[in-house]
Formats: sequence, C-alpha cells, structure tokens
Amino acid sequence: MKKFGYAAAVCAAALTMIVSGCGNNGNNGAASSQPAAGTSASSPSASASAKPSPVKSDVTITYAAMQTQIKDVDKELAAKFEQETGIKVDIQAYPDDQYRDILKTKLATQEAPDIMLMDAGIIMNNYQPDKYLMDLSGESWVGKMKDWAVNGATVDGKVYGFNLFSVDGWGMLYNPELFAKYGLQVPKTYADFAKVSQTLLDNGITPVYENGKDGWHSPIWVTEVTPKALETNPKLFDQLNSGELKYADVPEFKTALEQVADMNKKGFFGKNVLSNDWDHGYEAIATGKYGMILVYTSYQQEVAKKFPDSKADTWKMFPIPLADNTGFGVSAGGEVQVVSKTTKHMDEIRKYWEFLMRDDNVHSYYNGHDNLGETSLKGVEVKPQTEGMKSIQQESGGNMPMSFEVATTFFDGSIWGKGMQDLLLGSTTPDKLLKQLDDNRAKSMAVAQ
Amino acid sequence: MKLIKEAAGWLLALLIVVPLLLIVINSFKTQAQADLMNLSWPGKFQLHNYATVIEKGKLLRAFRNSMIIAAGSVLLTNLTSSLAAYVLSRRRTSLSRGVYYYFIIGLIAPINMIPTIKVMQMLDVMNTFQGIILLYAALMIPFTIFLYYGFISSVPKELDESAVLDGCGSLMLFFRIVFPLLLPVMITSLLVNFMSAWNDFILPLYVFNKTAFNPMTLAVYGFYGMYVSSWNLVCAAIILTTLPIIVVYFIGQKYLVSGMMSGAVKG
Amino acid sequence: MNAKKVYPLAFLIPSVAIYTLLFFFPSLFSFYYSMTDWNGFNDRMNFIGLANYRQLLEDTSGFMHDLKNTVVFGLATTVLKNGIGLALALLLNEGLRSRNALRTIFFVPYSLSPLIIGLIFSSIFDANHGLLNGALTAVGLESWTQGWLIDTRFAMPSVISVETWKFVGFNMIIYLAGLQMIDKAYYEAASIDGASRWAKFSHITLPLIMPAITINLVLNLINGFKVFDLIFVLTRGGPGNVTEVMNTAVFREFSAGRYGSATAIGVVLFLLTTVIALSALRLLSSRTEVE
Repeated sequence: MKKFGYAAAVCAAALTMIVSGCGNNGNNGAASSQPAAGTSASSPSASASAKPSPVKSDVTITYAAMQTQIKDVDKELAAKFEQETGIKVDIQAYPDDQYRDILKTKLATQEAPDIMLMDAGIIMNNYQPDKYLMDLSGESWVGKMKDWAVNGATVDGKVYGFNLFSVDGWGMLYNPELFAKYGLQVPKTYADFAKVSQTLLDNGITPVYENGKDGWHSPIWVTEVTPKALETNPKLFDQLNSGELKYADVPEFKTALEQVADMNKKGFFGKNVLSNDWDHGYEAIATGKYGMILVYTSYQQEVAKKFPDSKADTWKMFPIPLADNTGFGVSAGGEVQVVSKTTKHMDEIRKYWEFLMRDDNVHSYYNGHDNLGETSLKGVEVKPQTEGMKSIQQESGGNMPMSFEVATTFFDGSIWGKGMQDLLLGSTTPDKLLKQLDDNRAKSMAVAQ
Repeated sequence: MKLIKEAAGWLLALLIVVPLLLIVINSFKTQAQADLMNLSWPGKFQLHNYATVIEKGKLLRAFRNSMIIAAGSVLLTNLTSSLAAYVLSRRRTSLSRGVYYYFIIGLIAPINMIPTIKVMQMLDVMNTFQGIILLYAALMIPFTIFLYYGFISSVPKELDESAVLDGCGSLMLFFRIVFPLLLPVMITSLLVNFMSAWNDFILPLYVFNKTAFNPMTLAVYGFYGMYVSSWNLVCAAIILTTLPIIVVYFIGQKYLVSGMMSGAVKG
Repeated sequence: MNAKKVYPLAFLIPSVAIYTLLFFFPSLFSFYYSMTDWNGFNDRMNFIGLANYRQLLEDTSGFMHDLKNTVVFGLATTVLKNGIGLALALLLNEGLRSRNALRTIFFVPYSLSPLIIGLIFSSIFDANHGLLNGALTAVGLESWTQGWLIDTRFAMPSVISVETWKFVGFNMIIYLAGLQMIDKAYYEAASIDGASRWAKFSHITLPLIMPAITINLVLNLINGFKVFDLIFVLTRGGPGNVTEVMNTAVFREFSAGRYGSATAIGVVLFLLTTVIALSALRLLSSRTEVE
C-alpha cells in the first residue's frame, strides 16, 4: 500500500501539471495572440522577454520556415516590429527535411501558417498556388522589386511571393594565389579543368571538395550546365516541361554525369567523397587541403569569417566547365514568403513587409543573412559584390540563365541526390541514372496531368 | 567464473556507455573542439554551452510543454487502457476477443496525417495540448492494452467475486481492489509511454501552429542544421532533453521487470 | 456473479472512442487513398482500382528492392535483438553483483529518441572523423577502417547494428522477466538427475520462457518492418538506395507529391507486417497456449 501511495503522489503531481497546463491553453482558441500567457511563472527566462508593452494590436502572424533559413536577425527584427506595432510574428522553424511535407499537409487541411517561406520558381506549382496561396500581384511592393525577384515568385502570371532573398548560382571557388603558384589558368573546357585538377593532385592538394554525403549538393554538377544546354537548344525548358524531351535526350546532362564519374575515378574528389559533409567544407577549403569547391557566391565570406587567415574574401570563381559550359546558371530568387489564403491578417502582413523593406531593416536583414548577397529591391544595395560574384559574372560574359532545376517541372532533388550517390559509388551509369530519373519524372507527370 | 562473467557484462556495457560518454564530453567543449567529436578531454569545461542551449532553445518553456504532453497522454492512456483491458480480459467472449484484436491492429497500422488532422478539426482540438494528448493516447492505447491485458489475467478472479459479495460496484471494484494490484504494469507502461511521447517531435509539428508549444526534443534540431552544426550545443541539448526521461526511468525501473513479467510475458 | 454487470462494456468506451476516432478511422482512409490518383499537384482524387499496386509490382529496382530491404532489416534485427537480449538476460540472471547497475545501463538506449541515436552514430561511424575508425587506427587496425555508413557493403549492417543497440535492453528486460518466473525447483531437480547445463537450458529454460520469446519476436518483427526514423537520420536510405526501406519509400513518394502511391506502399507494409506478425504469433503460441 505504501508503494501505491507513492505512485498516487506522482500521478497527482502530474495531473496538477496537466490541469494547470490545460488551463492556460483553454483560452488559446479565443486569444491566440497571447501565447504562453501562463508560462512566465514556470520559466524565469520568459519574464525577461515579456515586457509590458503598450497594446497596439493583439494579432500574431505565424511565419513558417526551414530551420536553417532562420537567422538570429529574423527574430530580432520580429521583436523590433512587435515593439513598434504590437503585432507579434511567431517564427516557426521546422526541421529542413520535414518542412515541405508538413507544409503540404497543412495547406491541404487549411491549417497553414500565415506566411510560409517557399522555394521560388516553377517548383511552387507543387503546392497548388492557385488554390492555397494569396495572389499578391496587386501589392505595392511589386514595382519596387527587381525583375528577377518578381519573376521567380510568379507562377502562371500571378505573383505569389514576397522576395527578400538574393539571386545566386553555383560556381567553382578557388584561391588565385594557389593557381598562380602552380601556373594554372581558369579552365574553359573540361579537358582544361581536368588538367588543372591533375596538377593540384600531383602537388598533394585534393582538387575538389565535394560533400557527397548530403545528397543535395552533387546534382548541382549537372544543373549548372544549363547555360550550355540552352546554347545547344534554346527551347530546352519548354520541351522538358511538355514532356517532348527527357533528361536522357539532353546530351549535356549525360556528358556532365560522365565527367563527374571521371573526376571521381581520377581521384579529384579525394577519398571518401561520400563521407564529406557540408560542415567540414569550410575548413577543407580554408586550409588549402583542397583546391576548389562548388559553392554560391557569398560562401567565401562565410569562409573568411570562420578562418580569417585564409583571406577567402579575395578568392575568385568560375563557371563549372563540365560539358564545356561557360555560363552561370542561377536560381529563381531563392526563398520567398508566400501567404496562405486562409490568413485573417493580410493587413498586418502588409505592415510587416513594409517594415522589412525599410532601409535600416533591409540593411540588418541582409547583413544578418551570411548566405545572401545582392538585395531584391531596386536601388538598394547592402553589401558590395563579392569577388566571386564579380569574377564569375565576368567569366560567364553575363550568360546567366536560370538553371533547369528551378525552371522545369518535377525536378525531384532527393531522387537526383540518391542517383548521384549511386554514380559516385559506381553502382550506376550515366545512362541508367538518366533513365531512372526520367521514369520517376514520368510518374509525377502522369499523376499531375 | 563469476568474476569473468561480471567482467564480460561490464565490457558489453562499454558499448553502451562509450557513445553516451561521447555526448557528455563534447557537450563541454568549444565548437571547434567538438567539431571532431572524439573522446579527448576538454581542456576547459565550457559550462556556458548549457546556458546557451537553455536560453536559445527556450528549453524551460519546452520542458514544461513536453511535461504536459507526455504526462497528460500517459495518464489518459493508462486510465482508459487499464479499464478496457480489465473488461476485455475478464469477459472472455468472442466479442471481447474481437475488440482485443481490433486494438492489436493498432500496433501495426500506419498513421495517416491528413484524415487525422481533419478529425481533430471536427473535435476542435487542433493547436491545443488536449489535441496532441488525445492523439498520443490513440497511438499508445494498443500497446498499453496489450500490456495490461496479460497482467490482469494473472490477477485472481476470486478477488472480484468476494468484493462483489461485499457490495462493491464495478467502478469501485476496479479502482479499489484491482487497480492497486496493477502497480507494476502501470509503472511499466507509464515508463514506456512516457519515453515515446517525450521522444517524439514530429506530431507536434503537425498539430501545433505556435512556437510557444514546442516540445523539448525539437530543440536538439535547432542546433543541428543542414548547413552548420554546432556539435557542442547539439550535445548539450541532447543531454538536457534526455535527462528527464533518464530520471523517470531511474525512478520507475525497479518495477520494470516485474511489470513486464506478468504484463507482456504472460499475455 | 453476473459478468455483464460486474464488467460493464461501458469501460471500453473511452479507449475505443479515442483509438477509433484518432487512429483507426483515419488509418482506414489509407486503403481508399491507395486506390486513387490523389496527388499534390491538383485536386483530382479518382478511383483507379489497383493501378498503384500494379505499378509497385512492376517497379523492380524501386519498390521490390525496398521490400527486400525491409524484410532483411526486419528479420536480421529480430534475430540479433533476441539473441543478444537473451544472452544478456541469462548473464544477469546468474546473480551477478552488479546486476542492477548493468540492467540499468543496458536499458538506457531504449529511452533515447531515434533522432538522438541517429546523431550519435552518424558521428561515430563517420569515415573521416568518426570515433570507430579513430579507435581502430589507434589500436593498429587501420586496415579495418571503413566508410561504415557510405560503403554499399557496410551501410545496411551498420544501420542494423544501431537498431539492435537501441532495442537489446528492452528484449533483455522481457527475457529477465521470463527467467525470473521459472521456479528454481526445476533446476534443482535437474541437477540431482545430473543434467548438463545445455540440457537444463534446452529442457527447462527454453520451454518456460516461450511466452517471452513470442512477445519479443512479434514486437521486434513489427518494429523492424516499420522502421523509419533511425534509417532516415543515419543514411536517408543511402548511399544511393542501399538502405532504403518501405517506410522511407512512403516518405519519398509523399515528398514527390504522389500521395496515392505513397499510401499504397504503406498499405502493403501494413498487410505484410500483419501477416508475418500474426503467423509468428500463431506458430509460437500454438506451442505454448497458456490459457
């Protein structure tokens, strides 16, 4: 009986907790604007943030994003916005690999957050924008944004996304001093690239850091040959989208895959390419253990910040020369903020966007996001162009089309990633891989038709 | 001979202890040191890693949320399951057999999120603690009934009979006479269910639309990103989120074997 | 005594209601969804019969491969968890002095979230910086170092061993419970008859812990077939598709917006698990009917 008394005490304690917990969540439905009204008692940290601010508005905007896209500055700006207007922005950071699926489920069940950060480009079609997302074509900021920023957020002639990102692409980052030391020139063809790599390898430097473990990175070796493929076939996007062309019909894709396999075979990626992850890339390239890395143009700033001795901010970039490509394929404008049709706070969201576009806030926003460069707003620049951006623009002669990843339908990043791993493992061939990707794409086309 | 066995046991225990030690040690390192994730001794103990994690991850609030969610669903599950298992195990009819199997299917069936959310909307429990507690209970009831069912079979039926003769009603009979005897299996299922509710962070992502409700496990994710991971903070977050279940486990573990004994094993 | 009155069916109502409404009923929809062309791209949800299933059967490099992996994973982990779990239980049952401490330690992994276990072991198994390769190198076994999670030969065994690591303590506890129910008198009698250790084990221990074996087999099979989190965190089904199982395939299809075929895989997995678990239960309990 003694034992039971003990268990009963535990239960009673737990029960009290629930009752008190449910108590303050009972008024949630009515006043969703005051989250955790009862929390301050149990959490000392809450008392610091819960200043008795003058109540100007009791609205909460919910804002969902992938966890890695949220930086400290986003929370700081949200706090500042709340201070000015009383409108709370509840930034919800979701695990990256679950984010898109959760979003689809929430949209389908009318449970979507007010604002959602979403990949720009034709891929927005995957979320049925027509049905679920607010048409923002008439918003006042549309005219203030650069063309790429609006275009990337436009589907079937309607603007769905507020863009506060940067247009960027992927190219080879290298240390010019290192190249000079070995008398190397920026390669324009794959043959030259292979020669450069071989020279580095012969001198004890692994030519290229490739984070094969993550899966999402390796497909970029193929998507970045888009400019070359477009030179051969200007109708590439339309024909891929209509199904007239398959991936296997694009010679540049096959060539790029063959050359990736070739580089791997020649040891240009070093040992254990599939064990390399993104995290360790900074060190690998900063210390000069590796010679080149395939990255976006602001990456060098991150390296310079972590490893100041590397002087990585002075480094340069060139377009990936696979399939003898010389152009620079870019994104559709990265990640844009879309609004759920179910929102009840469109006015508050407008205020939030106006706030974010204010000069001081744009500055802190872009400075707080290391991965961003150029702003999306006409006539506003925050950071000087990186050396990488300058050099790759120059090398590409301004040939900077969108890459097919964001310009064509049903690009399935996870299948591509797995396929590239297979290729690096040697367990598939470029032909087999392209067929597998085409089959997968055909399945999606069939259900979506 | 005993000594050899003892040594063998501890050798095997190393396989468990070393990975856990890895987390403990790295939680005290700087980010650069922890990047290598090895067992080398941290020169200076970075206790502030914990402070950072608690503050940045809003762990106190998250702890309270996890506590509400886990304790709530565990209590609801145990109460409803023990009642059901009691009736099912005592009335050995084909109907009760059928209902039992109906629950057992739940051990295997996959959860289907979209219709689940629609039901929760109908019940008006989306975005509330009640909602997630009900959902966890629904998912944990099958295993819990399974545990109780076997255990109750070992409680002699004669007890019921004499109690009924003494004029006990069925509710009183259950709560006054039978329930106290279920202590071991109750603790066992409390423990097992508490762990699974505590460790899950996926369902809250679907049910809640509010960061103030985030559970503790999710905080680990906050420091482990696709781009840059701070392993020292990840480790500290792991320690802090795991600590409560370890504590619960230590409190309840002495009942574990005897609970399993008649609960699962006799079933 | 009137059973109907003493054990009222009303006691079933709360659990049946919660379970039915929030779990069983929504899950039932899977059967219907799996026979539609439901997708993430448009509003259509037409009944298309068994077309999704037919497509799965034709997909030898995808679905059939995942099916095979699921079975391999399910069976291998079941055997390992049971074998090691029983061995540990027997060891601890010998009245070791540190029995309680060891029992506590062995059970700890079961209490950790798969997310956390995944993080721990992806670090330990890392080919470049991992603890395992580091340890092997330190003791002069450098030639044994491997890309544990990235080598096609080792990825599956590595994932299987992590799953085993997590569940071995749970199996051990159940076996311990079974062992402690055995009356010592049996062993004493056998000793008097001069029975060997093996004879005691096979004639007394094994038959008497049959219920524990049954429970462990069935639960492990179910858990093994349903695996998702652990594989997802450790390898995401990779490298390539080497560790892809049915539940990671469900996730993959759902991500690709093909909801109909995603639910079809889920239904096949459910049926497969049910058939295997139930036949294991039948087979074993027919030999040990307690009732």
